[in-house]
Amino acid sequence: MGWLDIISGVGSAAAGYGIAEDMRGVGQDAANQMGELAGQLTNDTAFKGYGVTTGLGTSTVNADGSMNVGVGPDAGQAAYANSMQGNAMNNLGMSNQMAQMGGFNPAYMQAMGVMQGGMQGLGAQQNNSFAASQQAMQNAMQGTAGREQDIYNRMMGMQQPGLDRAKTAQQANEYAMGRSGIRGSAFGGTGEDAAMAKAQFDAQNSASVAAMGQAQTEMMNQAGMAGQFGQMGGQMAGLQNQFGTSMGVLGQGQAQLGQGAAGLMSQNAQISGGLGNQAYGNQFLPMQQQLNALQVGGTHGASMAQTGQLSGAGYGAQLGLGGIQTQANMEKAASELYGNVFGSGMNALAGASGNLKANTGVGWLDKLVSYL
Amino acid sequence: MAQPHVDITLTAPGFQGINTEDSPINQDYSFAAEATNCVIDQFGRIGARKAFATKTSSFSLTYTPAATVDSTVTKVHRLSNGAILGQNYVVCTVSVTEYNDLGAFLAVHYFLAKLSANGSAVEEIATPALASPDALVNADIVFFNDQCLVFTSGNGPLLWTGTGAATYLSGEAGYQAPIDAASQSLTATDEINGDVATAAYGRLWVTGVDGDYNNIFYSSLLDPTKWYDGSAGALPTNTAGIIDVSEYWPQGKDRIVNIVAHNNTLVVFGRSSILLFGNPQGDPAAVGGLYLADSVVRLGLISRDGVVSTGQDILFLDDTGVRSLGRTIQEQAIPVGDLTANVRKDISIKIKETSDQSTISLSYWPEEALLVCLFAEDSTAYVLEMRAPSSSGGMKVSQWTGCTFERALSFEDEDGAEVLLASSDSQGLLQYAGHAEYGGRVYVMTYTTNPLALGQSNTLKFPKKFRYILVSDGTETTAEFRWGFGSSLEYSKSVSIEPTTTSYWGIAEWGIAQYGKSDASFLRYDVNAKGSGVYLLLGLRASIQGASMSLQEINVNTLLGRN
Repeated sequence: MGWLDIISGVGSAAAGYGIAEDMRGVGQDAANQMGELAGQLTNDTAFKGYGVTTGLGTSTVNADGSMNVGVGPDAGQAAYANSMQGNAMNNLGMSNQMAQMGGFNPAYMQAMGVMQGGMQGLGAQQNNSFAASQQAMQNAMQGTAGREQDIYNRMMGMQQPGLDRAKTAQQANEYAMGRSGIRGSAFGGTGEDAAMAKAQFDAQNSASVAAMGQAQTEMMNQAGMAGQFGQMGGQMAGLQNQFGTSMGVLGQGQAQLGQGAAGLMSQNAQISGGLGNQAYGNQFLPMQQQLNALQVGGTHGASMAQTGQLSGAGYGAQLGLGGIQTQANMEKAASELYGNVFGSGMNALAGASGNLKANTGVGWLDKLVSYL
Repeated sequence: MAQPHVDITLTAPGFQGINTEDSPINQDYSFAAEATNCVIDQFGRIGARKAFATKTSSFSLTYTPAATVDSTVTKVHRLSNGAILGQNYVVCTVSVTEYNDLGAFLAVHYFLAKLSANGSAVEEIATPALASPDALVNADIVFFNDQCLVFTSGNGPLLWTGTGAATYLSGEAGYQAPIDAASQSLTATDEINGDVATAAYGRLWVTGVDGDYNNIFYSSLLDPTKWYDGSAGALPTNTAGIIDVSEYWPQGKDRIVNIVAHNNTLVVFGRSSILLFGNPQGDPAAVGGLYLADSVVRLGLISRDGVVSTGQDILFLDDTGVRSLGRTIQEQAIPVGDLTANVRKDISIKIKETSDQSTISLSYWPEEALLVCLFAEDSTAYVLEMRAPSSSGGMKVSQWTGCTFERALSFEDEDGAEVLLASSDSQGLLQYAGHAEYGGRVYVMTYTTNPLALGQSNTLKFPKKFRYILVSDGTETTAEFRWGFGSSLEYSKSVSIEPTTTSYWGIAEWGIAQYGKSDASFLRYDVNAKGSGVYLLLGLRASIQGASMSLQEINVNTLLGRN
C-alpha cells in the first residue's frame, strides 16, 4: 500500500470524528426539549385547590393542600358540657362526702365511744389481770432463796431483841466473872461465847428451815394467784371480743349506709358526666357537618377537575416524547453510518503499516515515531 | 563518989538486921544501923556473907574479834535452869564487848550459852540469825515440856532441845502463828516475840507480843507450837488463846510486867496493880475456866525479874520494897506484907534512883534462906533473911556490896542445891559458896549498932573495955573494932585474926582465947576503950578472904557517969 492509502485512512477517521460530534449535539438538543416538556407538564398537572360553602360556613382546600374548615365548635354546647362536667365533679365530691359522712352518725359515734371506753376498760383490766398473773407466775417460778432470806431476816429480826438481851446478859455475866477478855481457839471466844453462839446458831437454823417452808408455801400461793389472774384476764378478753363484734356490726351497718349514699351520689355524678360528655361531643357537630360537605365537594368537583388536567397533560407529554424519540432515532442511524465509514479508512491504514514492517522490519508508525 | 563499973553484954548484936525505920534511940541492939556483906548465920548471929566464888573457868564462844581489840568484858545477862529429858541444864545469855587499848568500844557479840556438863565452862549454843540480837540481854528463858524456850523482844522464840543448835520455834512442824487479839489477823511478825514468859499449868503464858503488854498469849496444852488461831474450833486440839487484861486494871490502865503461877492462881503483875486469875487449869476459855478472882491496887512489880515464888508465897518488888503477895491478899492490908519494912525508906529511894529498873531483880535462895534484892546497876543488894521475921515484923535485912552479877539462880538437882550468879565481870558463872571471893578479891563485912543508951539514956558512959567474941573457921584475916558516941565511930582498933590450931578450953597468950572445935573457933578480942558519951556506937569491920566471920557477942565494960 502506498502513502495515499495511508492519507485516505486518516481522512476517513477525521470525518467520522466530526460526524460523532454532530450526533452528540443532536442528543443534547433532544434532552433539552424533553426538559422543557416536563416543566410544562408540571404546570399543567398541578392541584389548583377548591372550596365548599354551606349554611354553617365556607371551607376551602388550598393548592398546597392546606384546609380551612371555616366552622368552629358550638360555644353553647361547650358551655353546657363544662357545666355538666362541673356538676359531675360536684356530685362525685358529694358522693365522697356522703361516704365519709356515714361515719359521723352521732348515735353511731356515741355507741362507738361507749364501746371503745368499755374496750379500754376491759383492756386495762385484762392487762392488769395478765400482768398480775405474769407477776404471780414469775414469783411462783423464781428461786425461793431470796424469799427465804427475806423471811429469815424478818424472823431473825423478830428474835434479835431477845438475842441481844441474852448476849448482853451473857457479856455482863462474863464481866462479872472476869472472863470477858478471854478468847480460846477451841471456841473463838470463851466457852460461854461458844454456847451463846451455838444457841444463836440453833435459832438461826430453825429460822432458816422455817423460812424455806414458808417461802415454798408462798410460791404455791403465787402460782394459784397466777391462775386466777389469768382466768380474769381471759374473761376480760372474751368481753372485749364481744364488744369488738358489736362494734364490727355497727361499723358494717354504718359503712353500708355510707356506701349507699355515696352510690346515689356517684350515679348522679355519672349522669352529669354523661350529659357533659354528650354536650362536649355536640359542640363539634357543625364542624363535622362542614367537613362532610367539604368531603363531598372534594370527591366530586375537585377530583373531576384534576382528572381533566391530568388527561390533557398526558396527551401533551406523549406527543412531545414521540417527536424527540423520532429525532433521536434518526440521529442514531446517521451516526452508525459515519462510524462505518471511518472504520473502513482506519483498517486500510493499519494494513499498509503492517506490510512495511513485514518487508523492512520497521513499521511506519515506528518510523513516524522515530522522526519525532 | 566513984561510979561503979558495969558490964553490959550484947548477945548476938544486930541479928535482926538493919533497921532504919524505927527511932535509933533506945532501939534494941539486936537491930543494926549498918550490916554490909552480912547475913544472919545459922545460929542467928550476924556474920559475913559467903563469897561470890568462881564456878566456871572458861568460855566457849565463837566470834571474830575486832582487829584492834585489846580487852574484852564478858557478861552473863540472864540465866535459867530446867530439865530436858531428865537432864538438868543451865542456860544463859552472854555478851562479849570488845575494847581497844584506849578503852574505846569496838564491838559487842551476843550468845545463847549453857553451863557445860562438868560445870566448868560456859559453852555457846548456836542460834539462827536474830533480828534483834541485843534483846538477848533481857531474855526470858523458860523450860517447858522437855524443851528450852528463849523469849526476847523483837525475836521469835528460840527453841533448844538439849542438843545441837537452837532454832526458831516458828520453824517447828505444825506451828500455828498467833492471831492478834485486836485485829483478829496475824501478828506483825507471826511470832510470839514477847519477852515475858511463864510456863505453868501445862501452858506457856507470854506477853509483850509486838510490844503489847495488855494481852497474854497462852499456848495449847503442852504444845508450844500452837497459839491462838482466831477460829472457833478449826483445830479442835488447839486450846491456845488470848487473855486481854486491859479491861481489868483497877486503876484503868497498866501494863503487864510478869506472869507468875502460884497456888492454882495465875498472878498477873502490872506495874502498879496485880490481877489474880483463878482456875487456870484445863482450857482457860472453856465454860468455868479461867476467871479474874481478885485484884490488888497500888501494888505492882517494878521489874520483870523482880518476883520470885518461894513455894509458899510470891515475893515481889514494889516501889516500896519487897512484898509478900500471900500475906497481902490474905490480910488485905498492904503494910503487913511489907518484908522490907525495916528499910522501907532506904529501899524505896534506891529503887527510885535506879535509872534502869530492869536491872533490879529478886532471887530466892532457899538453901541459904536468903532473898536477894539485887541492884545490878551499882552492884549492891538488899538481902533478907527468910527464916523468921524480925521483931518489928519486917524481915531481917542486910546489905551487900560488890555484887558483880546481873542475875542469880538457885536450883537443886540430885547433887544438891546451888546458887549461880551471872557474872558481869568476865567470870562466867559464879557460885555463892565459901568465903573465897573470885579472883582473890577481899570483901569487907561491916557492922554498926544503932546508938545504944544501954538502958540509961540520960547517963554518960565511959567505956573501959570492949570484948568482941567472934566466930570464924580460922583463916587469917584482919578485923577492925570500932566505937564512938552519938552518930560517928570515932575510934577503932585493928586486930589480926590468926589461923590457930584451936583446942578445947585452952588459954592463949596475950589475953586472946579460942574456944570451939577446930573448924569454928570462938575468938575473943579485948579492946581497951576511951571516950565518953550518952549514946554508944559499936562496930566491926572485917576483911573476908577465905574464912567465915560471925559476931557472937560484945561485952561492954563501962563506967556510968552522972545524969
